[in-house]
Amino acid sequence: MKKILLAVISVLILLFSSVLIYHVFSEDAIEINQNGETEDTTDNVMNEIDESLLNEDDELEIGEMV
Amino acid sequence: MKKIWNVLIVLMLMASIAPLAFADEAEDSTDDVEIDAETQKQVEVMNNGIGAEIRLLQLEKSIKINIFKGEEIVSNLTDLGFDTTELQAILVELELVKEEVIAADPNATDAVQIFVDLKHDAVNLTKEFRDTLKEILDDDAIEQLRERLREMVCEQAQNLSKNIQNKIRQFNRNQLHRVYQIIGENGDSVLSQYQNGTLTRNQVKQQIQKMVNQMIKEKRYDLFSQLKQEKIQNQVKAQSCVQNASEGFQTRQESRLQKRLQKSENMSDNPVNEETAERIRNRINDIDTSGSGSDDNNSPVDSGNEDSGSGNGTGQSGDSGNGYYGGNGNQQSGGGNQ
Repeated sequence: MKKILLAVISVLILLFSSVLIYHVFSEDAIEINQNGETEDTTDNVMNEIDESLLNEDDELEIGEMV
Repeated sequence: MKKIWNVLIVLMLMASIAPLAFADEAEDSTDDVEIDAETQKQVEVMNNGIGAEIRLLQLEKSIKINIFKGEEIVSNLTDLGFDTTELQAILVELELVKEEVIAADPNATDAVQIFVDLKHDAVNLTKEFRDTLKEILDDDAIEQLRERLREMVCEQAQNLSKNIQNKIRQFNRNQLHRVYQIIGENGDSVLSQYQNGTLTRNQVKQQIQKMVNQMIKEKRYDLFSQLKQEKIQNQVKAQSCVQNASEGFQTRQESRLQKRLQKSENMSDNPVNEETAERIRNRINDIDTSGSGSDDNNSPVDSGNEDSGSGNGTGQSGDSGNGYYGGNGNQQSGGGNQ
């Protein structure tokens, strides 16, 4: 019985630490990605410029009458 | 043995709490109304006068198109002998909203709030019109009507489009001027050409791209981070405006409706205006009785287009349709109330 309980506890500890490790690593991955995004490529600069502009045929949707 | 059980329980509790610990920020439990992502995005350009003016003009244009189409529908249905009082009352209300949009000051500190409120009203009235129409006509007739309206053009809205396009160019010019400033170049002549239509937006962007390509890596990085920083600042400002707009939404809605009620009561006595006043009165009562508001009309602002055709019409008004709408039993022997 004791052995089973110890096994269950070990499995739980393992699960918990895996979740923790996964979370920490995925956070790091996001950060790395964000840092990567700030690479000063022309594309990124142009994307920023693009996002700051409005399309000349931009419409505001309030729904159709029919 | 008991200790082991205790440890086990603590571990299980920890495991169950873990997802909560990693979850994103919890949702607000307040009664504030949520504003949809599309509106939040639209509000981002309203940090300056031109941006706010553009959004208000775009809202005015969309309302004008819908009123135009609504009038066309009412005219057709009236000719066919349907009772269109309710539809006309909705159009009267939509007209009142349009007047409020036109009167709105884009430079006012509460311009975002006004925009969010009036867009909400326009979306809801449009939806109400659509729903009322569904009660009068069957699906086939509605589909025919939709096809017909797709080819129509509202000339008033066309004129407004030109104005909006000019404002957008002016807005883009200011944005691009800022880019030139950061780069340290004088882009006045290029930007003037863009504003008067000699150069397109893409052509200006290509010119900027050439300059960016020639920049050293550090300078390019500086440019990128400055642009990003300004964008984030704008988003933060917009977020705060959206937050303000979502607070006290219901109180503002009631006060708007009270003003509209006064206006509609001052209009000439006819069944449509009476219906308009009655509708507004009912809505005020709904707000009073629901307190924090439970009806779906109080959740701003979805684009309210879940079952409609696409886009606002861009064709010329055609003939006024003869006898091809299948009725759902609301037909009157006499003409509609005009």
